[in-house]
Amino acid sequence: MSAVPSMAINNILLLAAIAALLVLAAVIIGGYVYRDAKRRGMYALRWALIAALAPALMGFIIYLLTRTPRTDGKSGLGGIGFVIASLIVIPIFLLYFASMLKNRDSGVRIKTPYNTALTFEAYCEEKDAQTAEKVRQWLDTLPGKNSTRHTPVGLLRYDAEYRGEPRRFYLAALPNTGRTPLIESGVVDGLFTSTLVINAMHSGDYYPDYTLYSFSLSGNEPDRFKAIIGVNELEVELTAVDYNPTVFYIVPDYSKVDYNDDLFLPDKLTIRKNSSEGYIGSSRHSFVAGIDIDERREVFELLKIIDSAELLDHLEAHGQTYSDLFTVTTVYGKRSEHVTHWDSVTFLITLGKESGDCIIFDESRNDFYYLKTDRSFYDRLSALFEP
Amino acid sequence: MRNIYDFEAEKPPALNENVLRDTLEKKRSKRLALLLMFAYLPVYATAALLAARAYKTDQILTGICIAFIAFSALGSLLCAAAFSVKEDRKHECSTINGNK
Repeated sequence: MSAVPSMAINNILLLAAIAALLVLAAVIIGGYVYRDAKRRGMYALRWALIAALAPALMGFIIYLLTRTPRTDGKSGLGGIGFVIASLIVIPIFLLYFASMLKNRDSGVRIKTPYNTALTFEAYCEEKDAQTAEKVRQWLDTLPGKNSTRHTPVGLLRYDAEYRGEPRRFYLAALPNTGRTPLIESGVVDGLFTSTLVINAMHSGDYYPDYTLYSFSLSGNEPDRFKAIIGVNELEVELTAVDYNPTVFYIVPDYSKVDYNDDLFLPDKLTIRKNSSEGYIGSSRHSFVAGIDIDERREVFELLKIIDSAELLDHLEAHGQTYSDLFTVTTVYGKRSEHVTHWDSVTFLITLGKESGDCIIFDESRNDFYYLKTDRSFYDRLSALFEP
Repeated sequence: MRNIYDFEAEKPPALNENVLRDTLEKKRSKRLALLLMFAYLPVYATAALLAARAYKTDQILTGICIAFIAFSALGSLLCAAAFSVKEDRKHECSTINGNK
């Protein structure tokens, strides 16, 4: 996160350096011409201004070609070597600084694990009636559902948070894209701004309503949103809402809630034991055994331990060697067919050989975190597989 | 033998050390002017590089860079044109005066 502003500041400093060099060049030229013109009995100030301000050094070039002989009887170019050397070196530095400008790391992370573009009818099946009605009302306020020309694309945003980091959920209403458009979205980072681009290709069939596309972001919010539908580049009209309009589940932080029967929980946890050898970030696993845990209380207890774990620095986690690994997959019955659903991804749980801690790779909330807890959690998982 | 040039008609140009030095300085100045024209090319390259880098996300910066290149090129062209017209006139006048 902290890298984002510093990157922008670096670019600002580099641009400031470029501007300072241009000013320096103008001052060197103006100073030289003023001194030289005085010695030649020319209009010193006028020529100095012309030389310093005329574009592309043209004023200076014209001065050099038109200046009269010196009135003091002396000859020579009068220290022009320094000026020329400066004017050769400064542009080279300008080019060097410009090449050092880096695209900012916007810190925007987007995750759309499966194509979440749904027709409104399919969307209603996924969502509760109240949310579907709110979305319907919003869709009715949007202009031109059958046109992709000059029509802004509607986008709803719901703000959530996990471990102090913002997580944003978006629902885009894409006009005239058919029932199952192919959508690619990504963040384009520029020198100073970042743009999230939603690129949708028409599926070829006719669908008279908006196609609803869910995606979520963690980290920073992009500066701009842009939608490209077919060949039309459209602006995006963003509206913040106080409900989750996407088809994604918002998983609570289980370390901060108490168990109750209505608590949102996965239908089961699938735990697999793997024989592995490697280091964090790179390894090979081979499946040993698997079990399902569907007792709600136990599911909650395991997730609570994971959410209570301490956040671990990536650098600290990487490079630790380990053997054997558990994978925990959260499975939600309603959408179990979406095996790569972002709420159904796995936790990797292992024991770091160097630290002796239980290390958890958590990818359950549209981002990835390394977490650390004591080895009792690892032992608890191991005990599940004991005969 | 018939001379093709009347050496008596005009006085030869006064030649002294100062005149030679001025001539030398003018020659040097012309070389420097040529060098300066090339020295400015990296500035254009810088602006073009910035414009290309910022094209996708920072169109305003791209616009500023392109405007700078256009203004700079056009301005220098106008300056050069104005200067050459003035030089031509000066040359014309001196030729006419010389012929008198």
